[in-house]
Amino acid sequence: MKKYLNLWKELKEELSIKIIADAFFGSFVYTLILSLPIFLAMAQIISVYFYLLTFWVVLIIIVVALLNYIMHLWWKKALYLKQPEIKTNIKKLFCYNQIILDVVYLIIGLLFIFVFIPMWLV
Amino acid sequence: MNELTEKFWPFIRLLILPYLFFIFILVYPINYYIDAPGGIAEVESLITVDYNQDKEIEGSISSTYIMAINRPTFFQFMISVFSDYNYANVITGSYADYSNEEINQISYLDKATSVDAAVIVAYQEASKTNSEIIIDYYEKVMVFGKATYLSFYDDIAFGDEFLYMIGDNDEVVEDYTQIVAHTVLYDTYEFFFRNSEGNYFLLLTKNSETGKFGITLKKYYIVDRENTYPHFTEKESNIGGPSGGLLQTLSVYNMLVEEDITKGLKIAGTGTINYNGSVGYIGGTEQKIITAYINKVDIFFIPFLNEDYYYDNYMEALRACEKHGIDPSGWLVPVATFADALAYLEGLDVS
Repeated sequence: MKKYLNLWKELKEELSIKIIADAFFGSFVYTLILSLPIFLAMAQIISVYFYLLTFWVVLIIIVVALLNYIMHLWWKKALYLKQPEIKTNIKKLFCYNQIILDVVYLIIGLLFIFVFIPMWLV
Repeated sequence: MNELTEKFWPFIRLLILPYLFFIFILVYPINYYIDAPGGIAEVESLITVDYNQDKEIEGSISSTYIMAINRPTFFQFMISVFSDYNYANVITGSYADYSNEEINQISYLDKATSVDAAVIVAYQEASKTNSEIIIDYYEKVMVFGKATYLSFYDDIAFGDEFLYMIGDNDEVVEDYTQIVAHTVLYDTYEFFFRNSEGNYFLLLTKNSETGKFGITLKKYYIVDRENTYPHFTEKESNIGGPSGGLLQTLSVYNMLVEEDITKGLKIAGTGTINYNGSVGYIGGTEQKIITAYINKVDIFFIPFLNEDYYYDNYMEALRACEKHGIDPSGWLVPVATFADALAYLEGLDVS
């Protein structure tokens, strides 16, 4: 955790919060545009093949993890486009970031499978 | 943001039209409906009775639901054809004139009134052997259908209670079956209704072509909870429709009697319940049979009222079993009444 926070600090000092946030905003917007049809399609697939619900929830967790990966990829790309020579190990930093977010998504997905969906289907 | 846009612009330009086309097929609805297999839902999680709290129920009683998609998008329609389990067709009948929201309102009205019917039938049956059990109910006439030509269409909602109307010669008509006989002289009459906000009245005019007001009223029996013992609780439900009636009746009955009628089995089924204990037909039989088969139920009750009728639910179920290579013996149980289902369970030997 200390290593992760140090990497963030290093990146902030090297670039500035404004540049990091701007790069994040760009990658987030493009990921959102990409994810809109994906989630619409998945919701509709679930409605038609509802009896495979648990499988679809697992698939959604995987898709969200992939979108998370794409968002970080674009974030990294945007940062390098803004400043081509970055000394901070962004690859490592974003790897930690993705792992943390993926764990959160996994927990939310499992909560849906075991708690929310059974509660909802009354 | 600008850097990414500049970098990806050639791809964005290339993909913008396919993207918009894909969004279009994901949102544009078509005038069809799709029935797809759904799941089973334990009735205990919907209705609980404050009685026999120490009783241990070893098995389960579940209603079966399907996914009934009204006006699917192009995408839903296209993907539905990949499975033999799904059924798609054009929306016909009165549902063709209703919006999806109105169809949902009807569905939840059906569900609410079916729970009351289930409670009435189960309590009446249980009270035959236990004088502690008391059921009281009252009549309520509610709006069940609306034609497109109904005047003040948007002001009348499904489920609103009909109170009375002023007929010919200023006669107050409370009996909804007498409305036609008392509305001969004029075209417009005063109707009085009640909804959650209070009483209201509307001047309804007969349609010049049909000579009708365009409103369908139906009589329901609603449980008087204050004078009913033991008390029961009904949770908010996300599953609509009346087809769980029979299984709701069985489950409520099981909560009232001392013995466990499930005998440790996973019981499911379908069929509406009428106030006299008879079972009524349901839709989506094929998808319900598949749902039950996927969920590996031990017993599945299905309405069987007339073997000569092609669309009798049991006959449909047998055809569905044949189509999908499912062996119906031992688990598919045809019933015409609640008493039939009860007699079948009582006669089971699961030793």
